[in-house]
Amino acid sequence: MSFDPVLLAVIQNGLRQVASEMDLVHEKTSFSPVISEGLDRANGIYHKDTGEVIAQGETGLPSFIGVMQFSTQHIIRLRKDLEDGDVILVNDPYLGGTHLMDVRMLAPFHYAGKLWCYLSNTGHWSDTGGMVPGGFTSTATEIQQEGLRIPPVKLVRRGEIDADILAMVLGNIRVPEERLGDLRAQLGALKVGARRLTELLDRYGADVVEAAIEELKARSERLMRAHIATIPDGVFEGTSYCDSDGVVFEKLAIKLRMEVRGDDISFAFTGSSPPCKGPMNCPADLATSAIYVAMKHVFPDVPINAGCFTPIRVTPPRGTFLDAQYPRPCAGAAAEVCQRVMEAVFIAVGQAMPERVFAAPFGTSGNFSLGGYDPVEDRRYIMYMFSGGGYGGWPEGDGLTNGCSTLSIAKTQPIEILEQHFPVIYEEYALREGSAGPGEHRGGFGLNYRVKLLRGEARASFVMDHGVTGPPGLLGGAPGGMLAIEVGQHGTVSLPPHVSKGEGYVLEPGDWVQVRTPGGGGYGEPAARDPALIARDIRRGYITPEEAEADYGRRIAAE
Amino acid sequence: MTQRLSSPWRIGVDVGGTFTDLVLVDAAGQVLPFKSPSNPADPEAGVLAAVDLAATRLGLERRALLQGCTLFVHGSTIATNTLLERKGARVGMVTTAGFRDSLELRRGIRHDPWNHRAPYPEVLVPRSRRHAVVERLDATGAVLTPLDEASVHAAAAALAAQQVEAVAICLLHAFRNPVHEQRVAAILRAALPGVALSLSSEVAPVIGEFERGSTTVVNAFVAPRVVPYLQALERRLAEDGLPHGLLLVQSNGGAIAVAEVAARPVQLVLSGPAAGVGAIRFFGRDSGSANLIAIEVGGTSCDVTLSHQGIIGMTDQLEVDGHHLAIPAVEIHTVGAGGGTIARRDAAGMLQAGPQGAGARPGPACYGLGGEYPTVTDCQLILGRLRPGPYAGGAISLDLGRAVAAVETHLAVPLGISVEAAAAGVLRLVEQTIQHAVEKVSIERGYNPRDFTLIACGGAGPLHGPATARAMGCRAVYVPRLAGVFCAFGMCNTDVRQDHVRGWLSPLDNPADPDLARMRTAFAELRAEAEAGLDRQGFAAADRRFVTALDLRYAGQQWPITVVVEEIAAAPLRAAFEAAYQQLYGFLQEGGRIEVVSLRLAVIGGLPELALEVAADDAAATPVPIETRPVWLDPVHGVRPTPVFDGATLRPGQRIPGPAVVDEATTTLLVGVGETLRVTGADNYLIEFAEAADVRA
Repeated sequence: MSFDPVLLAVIQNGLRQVASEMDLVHEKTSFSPVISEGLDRANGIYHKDTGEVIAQGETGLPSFIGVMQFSTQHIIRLRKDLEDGDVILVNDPYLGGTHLMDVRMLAPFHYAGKLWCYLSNTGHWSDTGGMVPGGFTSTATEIQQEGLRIPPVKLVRRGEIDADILAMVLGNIRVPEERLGDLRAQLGALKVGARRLTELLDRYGADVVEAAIEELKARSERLMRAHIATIPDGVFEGTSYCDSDGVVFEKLAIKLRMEVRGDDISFAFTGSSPPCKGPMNCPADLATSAIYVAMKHVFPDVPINAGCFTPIRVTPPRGTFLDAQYPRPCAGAAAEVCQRVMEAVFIAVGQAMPERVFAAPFGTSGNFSLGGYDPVEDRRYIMYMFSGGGYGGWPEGDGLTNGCSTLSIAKTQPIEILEQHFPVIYEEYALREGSAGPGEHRGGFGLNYRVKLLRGEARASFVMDHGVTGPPGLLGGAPGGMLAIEVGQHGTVSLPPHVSKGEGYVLEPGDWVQVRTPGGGGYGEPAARDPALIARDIRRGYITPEEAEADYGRRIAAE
Repeated sequence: MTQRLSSPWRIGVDVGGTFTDLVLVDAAGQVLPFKSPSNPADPEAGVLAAVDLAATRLGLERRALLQGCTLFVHGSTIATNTLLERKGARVGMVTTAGFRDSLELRRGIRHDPWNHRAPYPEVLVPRSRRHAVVERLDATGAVLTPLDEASVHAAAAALAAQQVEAVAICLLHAFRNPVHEQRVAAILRAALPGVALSLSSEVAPVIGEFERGSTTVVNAFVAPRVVPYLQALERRLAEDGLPHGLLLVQSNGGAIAVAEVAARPVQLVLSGPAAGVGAIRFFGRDSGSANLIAIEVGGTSCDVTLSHQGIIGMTDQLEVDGHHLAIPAVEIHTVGAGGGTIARRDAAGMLQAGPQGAGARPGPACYGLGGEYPTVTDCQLILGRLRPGPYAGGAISLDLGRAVAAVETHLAVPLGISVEAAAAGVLRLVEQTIQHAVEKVSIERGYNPRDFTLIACGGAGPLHGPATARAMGCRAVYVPRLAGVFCAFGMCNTDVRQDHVRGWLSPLDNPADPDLARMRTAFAELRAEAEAGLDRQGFAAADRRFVTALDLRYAGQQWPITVVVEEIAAAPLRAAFEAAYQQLYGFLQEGGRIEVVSLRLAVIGGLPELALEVAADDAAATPVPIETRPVWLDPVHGVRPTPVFDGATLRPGQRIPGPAVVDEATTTLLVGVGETLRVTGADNYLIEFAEAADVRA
């Protein structure tokens, strides 16, 4: 079929611009710093019948690209009673969700008197109730402990907020006045999206845009297929491990089988670990989405719409921890399990064509929440931190040091701002020396911080990963340094029994938490590394001469 | 050329990477542009060469030209180029123990969600030259750990051994209390004579250890290259007759004396483009519109700036080549859309324009300098909007055959459409990019483009002006005749301006009111300091203006809004904030607590405005076209025989109905169907629309 290639490009840019503007309003007016600075949010336009993604904002959180389409599909299936002016509120992980903190809204969009598409967004709220402030429990064994689970309910009916629903939600979560602001930010973004989409349809005509959307989907699919065809045919395997589920100290295996035949690619999780007790279960939709995100990382130039995922087939991960069923807890799914799934994809693709990918990145969000009471300001607070780490080496160079995760483009908060908001003091926030995976192109370095409580009492919890195995290297490169947590209480230092997960650490003034995030995996044989680069790394204090000798087999003196 | 000049005159000199633009505006409003090659190896000689070129052309001696000049304003890319070419000083850094890596950790920022392979730019101070000292302040600025002077002496010894030329000092929370930074500076000054010191509490007293540190490091990096040059140039110009001091354009668009900027040369990083502000102000008066959106389209990029009721959007956060700068700067939104923007068929079989460009070399295919790929300029040529043959003053000759071949090979054939359709498609896409950039500075900030006049400048801007303006619903398009020397001209119409920002944090609605009182005191201090500066520069009381503003936000939110205020009182502040919030985001946080994040004081020393010359109305003479050629106008009207005028023959007051093409010395204008071109009183162009007919379809 022939479609004016110019008009097509114009409409594609126009749709993306609508979603990007929704992203902007959402980000600028949110109260959760994880949205306003961390950009842990996404906005998009979804098909009225299939729920498939039509466009998403350019800075939307990558891991939401697939799940929001699944979420929309569940709502279309479950709510046949949606009217113009309604807005659905939902955070149910089992319905195309992630963890309870990712709160979705969806609004039917009407044009010329009939349903034309859905507008939807997701934002990470700093709290949705549950046993630990911030929601990152590592010991929950059922979802009720993790927070308030909201099925798809009408928050707004024909333009009017349902005060009962609102009261019910705000009555069950911490710091409700800030969450009200987050909620308004999401509603505001949907409003802006509706206005801008109406303008776009007025400008080009609804029929033309609909035809363009079909054509864009077909083209994205063709492009993704063209890329897949460049992967050698065959069956490739990638296995990655979560440290534990937080309750039972055993590794959880993700066994990924990738099969490439021409321009088709399929994935199966056969042999992965069974459902787990603790909160590392992952909804199946999210596991599928993680594969999409990983493939987009491998082939970044395919425009995001449903077409770019059509060629990717995923066998449902039945009977594994990657198919969370009610009431399995899943607080660690969105930030951690998801990254392990991506890692398995990177490993499998690395088997197939190592010259075109990278060694594994640090692969954890480093979720750390501190909830407490500040007696000086007489207020309760939740401090939520995520952290960067090292990226893997790649064919053209070393990995990034302290990049934000593959799941996001979050900026970490300046320490000066954290200290202004919360009764804590950071004793260090530094590059983690020696953490990079050695290789011809080494990994990037992780982060090392220590934070001390100044006053009041607080509880610390951690949901992190890669504390038991390091991010693997590629083509002979060595793994990056493993994550490590230490907690100092009353002068005694302890390590969480699950290494990267723990909760309920009660801190008093002077107590502290130290976190060291992983470095990236190395790429290529360490022995092939340019000695001048090794000498430079020693000079900068990235590694010691002893480490250089151990890792690279060369004795190089610092200058 | 010998011109009769009415004294006194002003001179603006904009030094770019390739050319130095000098614009002289005399007392009668006569605007004379000169272009001479830049001299990157000896920038002072480059400026003097431009001065000499102008003097020669005007039949004057250098001394006479300088003696008659009341205002000599200089914009220079020297700070920018020092940074871009990484040719600055060997810098060391002193930080709080535990925080020496903030510069390198860069808050984990990656801009593209899908790209984690491209490396960050190398930091300007490698880890081995970053030294920690033992000290600590808390978030209120109170001392938690006193400065351990032995650790400072150790750092000084290490820095001396490393032979640094400059040191950036950035201690945690120093923007709240500079006491430790000042003490460190005192010790280093004694231990490291001749080494330039930059203190974060002076260079950029804002919250955020990465942002403040990065800015301070860039300052230290450029200072030893920039400051001596400026001082030498000022001395030289004074010796050669210039009666007043040299003024420099800063990133905030205002001018500043050399002595005032010597401690903070980082403020000069956007010196050139920011000078456009003065030009926009002047054009606002000439076009009769207080609301303007300027698009400056050059070879590779398009800079968009918005001015609402005479106030230009400002920002505090810039990134130049991956280096973060927290300095007050004119908000310029840049997108990759220019004459040299390359079009291609992407892997999904769609037409794409940009963001890659062909640069000056090889440039567009039609330049015949080896460019293979079709660019926007090639498409304009194919569509008859540009004339084949000599271009840009004869430096280049446009070859239609090459343009057609490039579009045919790379676009038309692969896409299965005609050459004309492909060329028109490329223009449409590049205009959509420009349009989205305009939306970013207008609609996304709560402004309706229908209330604005579009200024189209830069060599490639005027051809895109009308289409962009119509798509956005703008009222009219204004095209300065000297579109090519926009910034140098702007320098002749600038004020002296200094922006002060002080980090703060207090609730707005404190009933006890101590915070408001503290704020008034802080503003009074800032103002006293500013008055002293204006005294030094000899500004009369009547020429002084102060703009007081606060950054406010809802407590709990991250992003503040800057609100200009007349008085420091809670009720009017709340009202002003809520009005701004409503305008930006379309809703309010009812009952939300508001907090003050920072205090701002803009200090302006007014210089006389350029006269708006109103020449005798010469509308009686009907303009005569030099030729008629087929030109593709828009998707509705397609190709039509179109009269072409020589801009040099047009006079103020004359009108030309569209369609028409006007060839100017440095640019080309297209007047569409239903549009009328008018030459303004100051001898520029205004294209007005008969009705808001939309030709996008």
